[in-house]
Amino acid sequence: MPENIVFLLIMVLSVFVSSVSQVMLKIAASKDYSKRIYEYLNPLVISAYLLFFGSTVVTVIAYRHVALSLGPIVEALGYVFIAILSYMILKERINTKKLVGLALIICGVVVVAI
Amino acid sequence: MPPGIDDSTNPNRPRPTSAKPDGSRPSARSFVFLHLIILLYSLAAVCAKLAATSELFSPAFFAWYAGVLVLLGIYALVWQQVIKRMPLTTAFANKGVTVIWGMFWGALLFAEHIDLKMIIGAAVVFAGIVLVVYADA
Repeated sequence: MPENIVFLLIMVLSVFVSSVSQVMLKIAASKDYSKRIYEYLNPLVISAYLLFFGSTVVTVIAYRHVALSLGPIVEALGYVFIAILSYMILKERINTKKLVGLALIICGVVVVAI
Repeated sequence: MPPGIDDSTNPNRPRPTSAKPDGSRPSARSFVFLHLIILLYSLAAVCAKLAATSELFSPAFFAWYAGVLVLLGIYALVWQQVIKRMPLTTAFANKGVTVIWGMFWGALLFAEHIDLKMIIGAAVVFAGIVLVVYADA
């Protein structure tokens, strides 16, 4: 599916954007706020929600040429993106078991995509 | 973590080893709820696909897209409740079945062809998800 590979990559982009938003929410959740309402109303959380909203738009664009059966499989790349982002930004460790799992997810996605 | 969006795809968020203080196993009812909202989540993807196959900016397009947002919203709210009642690892491992729902809805509603390559790929991804979520357990 060389023609559809572009839309598959758009789907991957939407998963990446969604992953970035999740990491932003995670960072926001670990901060202290003077009032409970500021846990929701702060620039980080609001931009995270906007990014997540944006990712759903990108998903719909991708689905124009990506099979529904492929969507949730590609979405599993979120685990990979979040692990990488968490490793880089939150300094979270990746153990061997997780590394193998992440590699399996990538392999599985490549198998269905090619 | 605010409701509305959960960090459900984040396998790294802090999690209790058991959601219940007494360490007992989650109830069958919790599992039914979990799988109902996983089903709901898979229907959000169905709505996204229906929006994508509708004429851009037509009433049908907006209706299906609204469906995506509503289903994701409900999903996020109920998910927060479900993970109070069971370990996050269990919830995330079970969430891997969306891969199966995607193929089911694709075949049923959009006449998509599910070949052996896809089933193998999905199985490998599913195994990967289970390994990832239990790596921190």
